[in-house]
This record gives sequence, structure tokens and C-alpha cells, in this order.
Amino acid sequence: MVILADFSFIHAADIHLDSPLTGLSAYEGAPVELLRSAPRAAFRNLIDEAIQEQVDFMVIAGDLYDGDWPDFNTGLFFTQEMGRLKREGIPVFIVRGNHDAESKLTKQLTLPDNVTVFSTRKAESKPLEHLGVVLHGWSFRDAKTEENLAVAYPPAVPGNFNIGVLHTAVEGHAEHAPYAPCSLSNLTDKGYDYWALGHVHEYKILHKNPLVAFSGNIQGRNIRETGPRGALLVTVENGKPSVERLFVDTVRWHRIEIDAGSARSLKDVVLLARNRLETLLRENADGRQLATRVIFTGRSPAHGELFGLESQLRHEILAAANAFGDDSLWIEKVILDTKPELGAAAIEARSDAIADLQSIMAKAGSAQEIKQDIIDDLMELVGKAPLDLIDAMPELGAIKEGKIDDQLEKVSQSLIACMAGERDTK
Amino acid sequence: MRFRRLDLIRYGKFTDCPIDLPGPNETGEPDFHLIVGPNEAGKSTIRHAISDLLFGIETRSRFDFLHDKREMRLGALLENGDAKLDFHRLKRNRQPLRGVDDELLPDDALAPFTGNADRTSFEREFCLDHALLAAGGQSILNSKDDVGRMMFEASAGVGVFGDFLDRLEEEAATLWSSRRKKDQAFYKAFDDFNDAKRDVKEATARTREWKDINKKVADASDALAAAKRKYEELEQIRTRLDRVRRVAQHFQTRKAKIDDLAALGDVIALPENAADDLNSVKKDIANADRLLLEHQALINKAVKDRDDIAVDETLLARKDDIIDLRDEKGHIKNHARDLAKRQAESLALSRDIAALAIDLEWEMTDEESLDGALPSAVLRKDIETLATAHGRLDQTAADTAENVRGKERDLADWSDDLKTMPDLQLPPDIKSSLAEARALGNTEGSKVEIKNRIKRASDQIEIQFAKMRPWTGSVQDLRQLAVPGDKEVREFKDKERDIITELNSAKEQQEGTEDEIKTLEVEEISLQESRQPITPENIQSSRRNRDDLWAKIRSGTKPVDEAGDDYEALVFASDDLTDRRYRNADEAKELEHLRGEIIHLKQKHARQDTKIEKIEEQRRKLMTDWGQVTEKLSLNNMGISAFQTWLGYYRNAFSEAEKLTDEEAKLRDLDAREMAASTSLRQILVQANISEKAAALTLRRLIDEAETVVSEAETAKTQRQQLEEQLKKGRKDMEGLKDKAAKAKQELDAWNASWSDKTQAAGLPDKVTPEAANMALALMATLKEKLKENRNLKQSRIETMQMDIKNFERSAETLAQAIAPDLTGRAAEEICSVLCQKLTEAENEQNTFENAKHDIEENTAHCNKAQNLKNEAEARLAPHMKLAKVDTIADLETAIRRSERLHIINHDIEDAKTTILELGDGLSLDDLEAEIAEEDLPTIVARLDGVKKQSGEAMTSRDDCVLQKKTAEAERAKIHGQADAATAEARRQEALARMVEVTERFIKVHMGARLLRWSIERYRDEKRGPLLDLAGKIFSILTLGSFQTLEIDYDGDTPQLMGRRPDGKHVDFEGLSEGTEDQLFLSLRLAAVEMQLRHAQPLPFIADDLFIKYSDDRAAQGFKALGELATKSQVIYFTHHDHLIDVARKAIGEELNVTRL
Repeated sequence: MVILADFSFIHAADIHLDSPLTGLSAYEGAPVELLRSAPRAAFRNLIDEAIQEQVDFMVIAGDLYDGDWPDFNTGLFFTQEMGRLKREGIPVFIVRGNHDAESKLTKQLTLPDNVTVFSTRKAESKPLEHLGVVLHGWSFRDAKTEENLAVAYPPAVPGNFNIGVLHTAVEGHAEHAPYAPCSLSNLTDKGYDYWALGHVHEYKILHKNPLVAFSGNIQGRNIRETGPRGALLVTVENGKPSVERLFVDTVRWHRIEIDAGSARSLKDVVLLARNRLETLLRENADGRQLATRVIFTGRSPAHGELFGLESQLRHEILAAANAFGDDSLWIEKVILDTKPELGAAAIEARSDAIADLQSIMAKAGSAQEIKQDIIDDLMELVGKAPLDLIDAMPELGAIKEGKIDDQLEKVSQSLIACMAGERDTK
Repeated sequence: MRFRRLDLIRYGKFTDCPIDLPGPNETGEPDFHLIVGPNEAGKSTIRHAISDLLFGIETRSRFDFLHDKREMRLGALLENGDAKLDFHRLKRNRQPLRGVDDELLPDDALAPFTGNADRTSFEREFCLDHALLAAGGQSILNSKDDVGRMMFEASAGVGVFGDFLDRLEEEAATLWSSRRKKDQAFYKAFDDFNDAKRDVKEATARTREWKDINKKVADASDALAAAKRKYEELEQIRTRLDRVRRVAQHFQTRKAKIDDLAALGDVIALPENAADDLNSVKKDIANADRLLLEHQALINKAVKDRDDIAVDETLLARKDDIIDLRDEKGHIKNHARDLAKRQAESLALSRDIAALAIDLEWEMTDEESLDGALPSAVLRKDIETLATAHGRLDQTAADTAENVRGKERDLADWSDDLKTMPDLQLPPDIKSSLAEARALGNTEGSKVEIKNRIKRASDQIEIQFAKMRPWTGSVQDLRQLAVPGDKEVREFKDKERDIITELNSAKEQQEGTEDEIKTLEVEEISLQESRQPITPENIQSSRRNRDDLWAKIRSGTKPVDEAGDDYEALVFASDDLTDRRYRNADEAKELEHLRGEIIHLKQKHARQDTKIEKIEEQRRKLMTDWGQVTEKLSLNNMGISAFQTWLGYYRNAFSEAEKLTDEEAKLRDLDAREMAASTSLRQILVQANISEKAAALTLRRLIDEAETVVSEAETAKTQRQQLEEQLKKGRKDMEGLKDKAAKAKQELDAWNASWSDKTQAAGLPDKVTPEAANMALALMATLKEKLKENRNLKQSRIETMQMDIKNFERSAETLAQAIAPDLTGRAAEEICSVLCQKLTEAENEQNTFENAKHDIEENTAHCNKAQNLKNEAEARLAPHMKLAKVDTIADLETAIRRSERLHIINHDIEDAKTTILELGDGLSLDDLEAEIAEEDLPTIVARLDGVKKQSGEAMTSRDDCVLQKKTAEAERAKIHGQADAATAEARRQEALARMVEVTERFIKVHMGARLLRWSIERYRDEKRGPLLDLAGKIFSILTLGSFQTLEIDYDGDTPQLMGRRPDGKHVDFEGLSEGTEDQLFLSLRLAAVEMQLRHAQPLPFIADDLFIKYSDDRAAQGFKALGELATKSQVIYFTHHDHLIDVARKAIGEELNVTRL
């Protein structure tokens, strides 16, 4: 191989421009403006990094836009940022993925001439002769592109550093939609030096020689996308690539699981949470915005009290987060996943009114009248709920189907635990 | 246990009266006995006799009016299974039981028959008249006895969860409800969600919009380019015509000048400035000639002046010496006068010095000897210091000696005082008693205050009572009022409000429906009239007519000839209708739809009627329930709002009543404490013989007396202690004073020795006093000053001035001998004045000579310069004369005039050309000439105006296009990559997340509340006591099924017993009639007895006319219930109503035993 020079490039993917962070409810004191602007800020950071590192080119491996998002401003914002790269002489190579294959934005958008979008008709090769680099790419024509594109990629150009750019669900990523599926060997057998992949939102090195990598998305958008996010800085020296992660996200998602087994009251639980949040803030040395889900688990004596005071618990935790005094902590959600300290058998052994109520509640699932009453009540809510809410809450779907037994069971347990606590304190 | 026989041997009005109570023939038959007798027959006496028989005749029995207490005796034959006991009971405390043969029976002989029952429980549960039944029933309802507690608490185990349930329901209501309420979390989030959604839509720039706006910009650019082109073409034409118009006249001017040039002929062209040069030279020559004449005259005059002057050089050579002499004269000008003054001053000082020497008693020699005789400054200072110290030392010695003497006198006085001072002692308890009495404070004042408060409270109670009308009563009555709680009243109020709101809403909806019906009916009529749509019924009817006639024709009922035309007409009409229906199908459909809508709305209207009636019914029910609440308080028909106000008055009155009670108690307490304190103080004062009149004094006076006693004793004690302290301190002070006196004397002695030494050394008289010494020292100081002053005056002033005068006289004489011997020997001042005057004259002559010399030189130079100017001017004309080929200035002038004419014509031609080129828009002279030649000059102005107008229009059109393009570009600029839509979408997601949170919580809380309520109700159903069940069944029987059962309502502050009607409606106790109330009490009592019979010894049930408020049919039901009891235990029923015998027989059976009194 005759590589003309050492060079570097950025490999990014799954940018989903202007796609909002979801699941975050605004509340008093929350740094809403920071969070609302996070997706664009992350993309700007990416461009800043490219300029600062003076990379030779940038690769975006699909899903630049988010599906049916119709605002043309998003496209213009993209072209403005590409303009910044153009002024720095940095070319950009893009393949379209399942999310932006059919984006209406792209048809009318005039991109600066430093941006090259790979064809949707067939795999193409784009040489960068001054570097001795050839990029191979193929854009999705349709969102549901289910054929193996990798196999049809051109053979490597001898004497050049060959880079494959592909949006794909490589085997073994069952949690992602199986678009442009391929096996790892389809890629490694191609003779390329680097595969820049997109589609899977998590950073992953699938193969070291040749390097096959998912860069992950540049900004976590919901609680399923926790941890640091960004792109890959690929440096090629003497024809050998090495990767370094560039973290460009501005908001970082975290899940904190707290075992409330030792807590006897709401106060104890809040204290546990405060300590954990404090630790989280302390460890968050780079001062990024943290969107944090707090989940309480375990068999806890406070289970019953927490059920009754769930709203208060949320307020107390928000207050605790606000009390840290900076804007770097947003509580995404407080989830009570605790279980009662005493099992059904222990309650039954009390032989008191609570035990009797437990026994009665156990029959609620089969008592069609009360069950139907509850379903009817909740169906009124479902009837008035917007579709987005129904989509966001599987529980509402279950109510529509009359399936509330699990929920009834959980609520029964919480009620019993709560009342047992109340009774004992009276 | 049962009574087989009852013997009223000697009891009340009865004497040896047996009542036989045979048992039933068979098991299961009722053991029921009806004892009938008129009023005063002794039914109540028998009921009391039964209690006395079983549990002892009461000590204060009122049934001894016929038989003496000692004679009273009852008897009975008791049966309990096979066991029997025939016995008598006497009225006595010991061994009251006897056998029929009067043998003694043990006191507990009845225990096997009565079990654990005592008199109280027997009379409460088994031996009742109407009043006892009612009182017992009320106790059950109020849970005051075991039966009540058993009934209510059986299912009250979950009562504590009511609050929890309330909290869940309240929280659910804050989150969501089907009818939107203010501040509900779900709807707030929903509003935000919708707002954000709208903002997303508004902020989103769709690709189509972008495309359209780009096209708009492109179109506007094209239109602008076309408009510009047209405008430029017209402008070119306008420019050409305008140019031709501008330059044509200048071409004509140019041609005329070229002709003038030709006419001038040959001319030598001199430089254009030749005329100016000639004029300038002529002017310069004339000017130079005038200057030459003037300066020559000035030279002549200066030569003459110079020659007339002779200067005194000798005098001028000693000029400096003369000036010095003049300065010296100025310096000594005042010396003569000053010298006399200073000499007089010196003489005066000498006289003062002589006088001072005399005052000091010194002999006057000369001033220098005097100065030497003065004592040194150090010695004078020592004497001064000693003199100053003398007074202080002398005074200190005297003062300290006096202090010692004074202190000795004080000590003697204090010792005398101490010996004469009394020693008072206090009674031992007086202080503690006094403190207790004081602690009561101003009891009189306190009592007045308390009484005032009592009066205020009483007044307030009166005021509140007045406001509480129509309710009337006493404070005691007030306390016993069972007033409903706020929650209950609020619930009534809330329910009333909800019902009224619901009613109004329902009526509004119904009015809306009515309006819709009317609107649709009008539309229907309008449609019917205007479009006349054909309905299927119209067609069917028409066809039916046609087919009927055809059937008649076919059957021959109608001949074809007769009916043919009609049939054709009907066929035509039917077809026409069908056609019209086809044509007007839409209208028909619309009419059909309208009618369907109207029917639907009318059905809806009917449903709304039902709903309104139902709400009205709820309202009536609520008002009835409320009426029962107010009726109990004798506040008939008081509204809920008025009642809330009344409740305020009630609480005020109650509060004031509480205050009244408190204050009255305080007053009593204060009186008691005052009495105790007075007694204590009085005893102490009397016992200690301190106050003889103490027995008659009030507490205030007693306190004053005691305080005076205590105060006097304590004052005396304090004074004694102070005096002793004073004496002790005085003795100690005495020693210090003596030490100080000795020290002062020593210091004074030392001073005397030193004084003698110093004054002697200073030459002062022996034994001189400090004051005299001070005076002598002051005189010495003055003498010293005067001597010094006189010495200075003589040396520095007088002698110096005398020296200056001598020096001046010497200088004047010397200078006179040198330059003016004629002045020698004259006074120095005169010599000086003459020489100064001569010097001035010599200097003036010298100046005049120098000026004349300078004028000659200067004017000579001016003459030379003027001559040069004249020569230069003549030289400047030489080139022009040579060019013009002339020798004289006059010829040169002629040549210059011709040359100038030539220059003017050439200039004009050139100017015309320049103007043409300037106005010619850059075209050449030839091009312009050719352009002019092509145009018709006379019409050019008119054509130019036309083109200008067209060009103006094109410019307006172009400007419009510019504006359109800018507008389109501005519109496009609004889409510039901003994040508004993305931000709005983020807000939408935030609101959605909030809705998720609220909904999740609502599902939990609502589900929890519903589940808990359902569970509690189930629990209560399951746990409802058997007592309640049994009472419910009996109540149903007694009320002839008017009530189905009894239930307990747990929703209020305390559980309430309620009757349930067969239709499920509930009536609480307050809502029952008096008769039904009695039936409820009997139901509860019988149920309680039956429950007891299940696990306790059966006792006879004695009932004294319990059915006094029953109708006969309900009395029959009462007998049925008692008959049922009688199958398990003996029942004895007393009545004075004969007709009840039949009623009872019908209800129980003929076999019942009837006894008449």
C-alpha cells in the first residue's frame, strides 16, 4: 500500500438532527433552555472538534436527520455547519440511513460543495487522491432497506486506504431494526482498512484488524441511551488506523438505582437519594448536564409510605437536586420499584383487619364488577388522552385491552403495605 | 329459667295474690303470658315485684304503702329444666329467702336459676317498660353499652383507613377527572402539550414552503431584470436626444469664431501676459523715481545736524562715580533725624535702670557693674521653685493635722450612737405568710376583673342566644345540643352546590337541545317548502294509488274506459315523482337526515328530562335530610348557609359558656386563697402581740401591717450593721491619717532650711518671705532686660549712622577736586546735585549726535535700492520688444493690442469645442456632428419629453420589481436554520413527559382508591355482626317490611345506624317516625336478648305495654316477634288494652296464657 500521507478523520453517525430529548418533564428550577438546545449543541461541538483537530475529512454513517421531522430549518442549520467545515477545507462524506432515506428535507436542500452524499442507486467509491484514500458508500433508498448492501460494495482499491461507510444492523444487534443486515465477515473480507458504521447507537469496536466500528450517536436522547456519547477521531499513521473517542454530548443520561431496603421512611429514602446524587455530581468532573433517573428498589419498610407519598417523594428529590445549587442536574424521573418488606404470608399472620383486606383485595382480579368499574373509569382517561400519550404509556394500551390484573396486584400490595404502616403508627 | 307461679303475698296493693303462669304443653310452643288489667290494676307493681323477688326488695321500696316494710313478702315457683324452687322473699338484709314453710334458705339459693344476672342488667335487658326500652335503645345507638359497642365495632376495624382513602381520592382529584377542574395537573400539562404542538406547527418551515418561496424570489428576480432592460433602452434614447439638444448651439458658436479669425489677417502673436508685463514695468519705473527724490532730501538734513553738536567727554568718563555719590546721598537722607531719636531712647533706658537699682536697694554705679551684680539664672530659678512649693507644703501640714482631729471626733460620736440603738426581732413565720399573701396580688382588683369577665361572658351568651333564635334554651341545654360537625354541614353544602350545578348544567344542556330541535324543525319546514323533496313514502303512496286502480281495472271493478285516463294520470304522477325523487335525491336524503336528527334530539331531550327529574329528586332528598338535621335542633326550615352562620353563633355561645365556667371557678378559687392568707397573717400578728387590732383587719390591711413590722425590723437591723461597719472602718482610717500628718511636717522643715541658704546667696535680706523674694526676682529680671536693650541701641544704631554721614562727605570732596574744582569746599549735598545735573546734559548731546549719523547711512541705502528697481523694470520689457520687432514702448503697446485680439478669438473657438465635448457624453467632435446632422432639430424637444415620460414609467415598474424581490427575499430570510420548531418540539416532549408522570400516578392512586373503597365495603359486609343481622330481621318484621334491614354508615365522624328500604334507600335514625323508632329499639333489644340466650342462662322477658305507639297491625308484628322469643324463653307481657288479646292470639296462637288482674 502506498499511502501518501498520515491523516485523520472523524467518524460520526446517528445524529438525528433536531430530534428532541424525550421523557423529561420541565419543573421549577430545571435548566430547560440548556436541555432544549442540547441536540444542536452536540452537533456544533462535533463540528468544533473537527475544526480544532484539523481533520482531513469527516464521515457521517447515516441517520443524519430524524425520519419525518419536517422543519426545513434543520436542513439549513446543517448546511450552515457544513459551511464552517468548508471554510476550513474539510470535506464531508455522508450515507443516508433508515431514518433519513426518505427525509423530505434533502430534496430541496442545496449542500455546500464540500459535502458528498453517496448514491442510493449503487455503491460508489470516492477517492481523495492527495491522501491516497478511497471512501466507499451506499445510501439507503428506502427506510426499510432490508437487503445486504455490504456484499455489493466495490472491491478495495489497491495502494489506497479504503474506508467503507455503511448504515447497517450487523449480526448480533437484535435490539435494533434489521436494516441492511450483514455479517461481520461480509465486512472484514472486503479488504478495506476501516469500516465506519452507523445505526447502532452504542459505541462498539466490532473488529480490530481491519477496524470495524460503530461510533454511537452524538447525544443520548432518552433514558435508554445513558453514558457518554460522541464520535470517533480516526488517526492513520503509516497506513495504520487508531481510534479515539470524542465526547461531544452536552447532556448525559444516568440511571441511579438505590436499594431502599435500609430506609424506614420517606425521609430516609430522600437522604439515600441525596447522597447518591451528590456522589454523581462529584464524579461528573467535566460539568456536563446530567439527566438522571432515580430508581428505588428492594424490599423496604418504607414501601407503603412511599406509595402514599410518591408525589411528595418526587418533589423532595427535585428539591434535593436543586439544593446542590448549579444547573447541572435534571431529575428525569423518580421510579418506585420497591417491594413491601412483609410478604403476603406475614401480613396474613397478623390476623387483623389488614390481613382481611389483603384477602379481599386478592379477589379483586376475579371480581368482574370492581375490575370493570376501574377499567371504565380509566377508559374515560384513555378516551381523552392524545395519541402520543397512549403511545408513550403501554399501561394505557393494556387498559384498552382490559388487562389491569398486574397493575391491580401491584397497587394491592402497595395499599396493604401503606395501610399496615399507617395502622402501626396509630 | 321461668316463673311457674308468682305469689304477691304482701306487696304494694296486693295481698295473697297468686298468678299462675303455666308452661307450654310442648317444646317449641311459645311460653307467652299476657297479663291484662286496666290502669292502676298493678301491672307496673308486678314488674317491680319480679325484680325484687329475684334480686331483693329495695331498701327504700315505695311499695310499702299497704304492708309495712317488715311485712312485705313475695313468692314464686321457679323452674329451670327439671329443677324447681318454691320460695318466699322477705324484706330484710339478712336471710331474706324462705321456703314455703318459712324455713330459711341460703342467700344464693336463686343462683342456679338467675345465673350471672344482676338487678341492673336484668332490668335493662329483660324487664322493660316503654321508657326503659327507649333509653336502652338510645344507649345502643350511641354505643354507650356493650350491645352498642358490639354492633358498631364489629366492622369498624377498618375505620382508621378512611383518612388514607380520603387522601388517595383527594390526590386523584388533583390529577385528573373526566370533568376538567381548575389546576388539575393532567389538564395543565395537556394545555402545555397542545400549546407546544401548535408552536411546532407554526415554527415549522416545510420543504414545500421553502421551494415556493425560492421560486417566488427567482420570479421576482426575472421580472426585475426585464424591467431594468426596458428602462435602460429608453434611457439610451433619452440620453441621445438630450445630448443633441445640448451640443447643437455650441457647434454654431464655434463656426462664427472661426470666421472672425480669418478676418483679422497676419498678426505677431505675443505672449498673453505681454500687456500685463508692460503695465507693470511702467508702474515700477515711476515708483523708483519718486523714492530717489525723497531719500536724498533726508540725507542733506542729517549732515547739517551732526555738524552742529560738541560732547563733554571728561564728565561722561566719571559717570559711574557721580551715580555712586548720588546713591550714597540717598542712603543717608534720614540719618540726621533718626540719630536724634535713638539718642533720646538711650537716655530714657538709663533712667529706668537707675530706678530699678534703687528699688532693689542697690547702689547705682554704672550699667556694666550693675549687670555683673545680678544673681545667676540658676539661683533665681531655685528661689522661685522654693517659693512656689512653700504654700502647698504649709497647707498639707495644716490639713493632715486637722483630719486627725476630725476623725477622733467622729469615732466618739459613732460609739455613742451604737450604744443607744434598739435591737428588734421578727416573728418566725411572718415573712413566708406575707409572701403567700402578696402572691395573691391585688385580690380586690382581680375579683373585679373576673366579675367583669363573667358579666361580659354572660352578656355575650345572651347576645349569641338572641342570634341563635329560633333555638331557645339555657346554657345547660346548649352544652347538651348534638350539633352536626363542620364536615357534615360542608358535605350537605357541597352536595347542594353540586346538585344545583348539575341541575343548571342539565337544564342548560336541555335548552341547548331544544334550540337545536327548533333550528332543525325550521330547517325541515324550509327544506320541505323550498325544495319539496320527494320521500320514499310519497312514491310508495303514489304507486299504491296507481296499483290499486290497476287492480280494480284488472279485476273489472273499474272499466278501462272509465278509469283509463285516471290510471294514466296516476302512472304519470308516479313516474314523475320517481323522476323528481331521482333528481332531488340529495334534498330527500337531507330531509331524511334532518328528521332522523330531530327524532334523535327529541329522545335526547326526554333523557335530559329524566336526568333533571332525577337531580330534582336528589335535591328534594337532600333537603329532607337537611330538614331532619335542623328539626333536631328546633331550627325548622333553616337553610344550610344560614345554619353555617348559626353554627358560628352556637360556637361563640359555647365558647363564652366555657369562659363563664372558667371565670366562675377562678373567682371561687381566689376567694378561698384570700381567706387562707388572711387567717394565717392575722394569727401571726395577734400571737406576736404586734398588732392588737389584727383580728378586725382586711387582707390588704393585714399585709400593710405585716409589711410595716417587717420593714421596721429590717431597717433597724440594717442601720446597726451599717454603723458597726462604719466604726470599724473609721478606726482603720485614723491610722492612715496620722501617718500623713507626720510626713507633711517633715517636708515643711526641710524647706525652711533650703530657703535660708538660697536667699542668702542671692543677696536677699535674711528671713525674707517667699512673696518678697518673688518680687525681688521680678525686678532683677526687668533690670536685666533694660540693660541689654540699652546696650544694643547704642552699638547697632547710633554709632552706625554717624559713620555713614562721614563717608559721604569724604566722597563728595574727592570727586569735586577731580572733575569740578570750582565746587571744592562746598557742602557734600550741593556738590552731588551739581555734578548729577551736568552729567544729564552731556548724555543728551551725545544721543543727538549718534541719531544724525544713523539717518545719513540709512537714506543712502534707500537711494541705491530705488535705482536698482528702475534698472530691473526696464530689462523685463526687452524680450517682448525683440519679439515684436520694435524699439519703443509706444510701438510695443500697439503690437500687444493686436496680439490680444488674436488670442481672444482662438480662446472662443477652443471654449466652444470644450463645451461640446463636455456635453457630448464622451463622443468625439465628428461623431457628435454626425449625430446632429441625423436629427431634426426643431422637433427634438417634443420627442425628448415623450421619451422621458416612458422612461419614468419604466423606472416605476423597475422599482416595484425591486420591492417584490426584496419582500420575497425577506420572507425567505425568515427561514434561516433557526431552532424554534425544534425547541417547541422539545417543549412538547416535556409536556408529554409530564402527562405521563401525572397519568401514571393517577392510575395508581385512582386504582388504589377504588380498590380500597371496594375492599372496605366488602370487609364491612363480611364483618357485619350477627346482632345487626338479627336486629335487621326483627326490624323488618316489626315494620311490616317497610324496611328491609339495618345497616351502618361509616362515612361520617361516627358510625350511624340506618334502616334500608326495599328500594335500597337509607333512612337514618333521625328520619324515623316515633312508632318506627320504638320498633327499632325493640328490634335491637330482642336481638340482644336472643344473642344472650345463645350463651347464657335464659331469663323471663317482662314487657310492660311496649306497643303503646304501635298501630294494631304493627302490634301484631310485635307479638309475632315476642312469640318467636317465647319459643326460647318465657315472655310476660302486661297491657291495659283488652283488644290486644285478640291481636296477640292472632299473632301467636290461641294457646297463649291470658291473665286478668
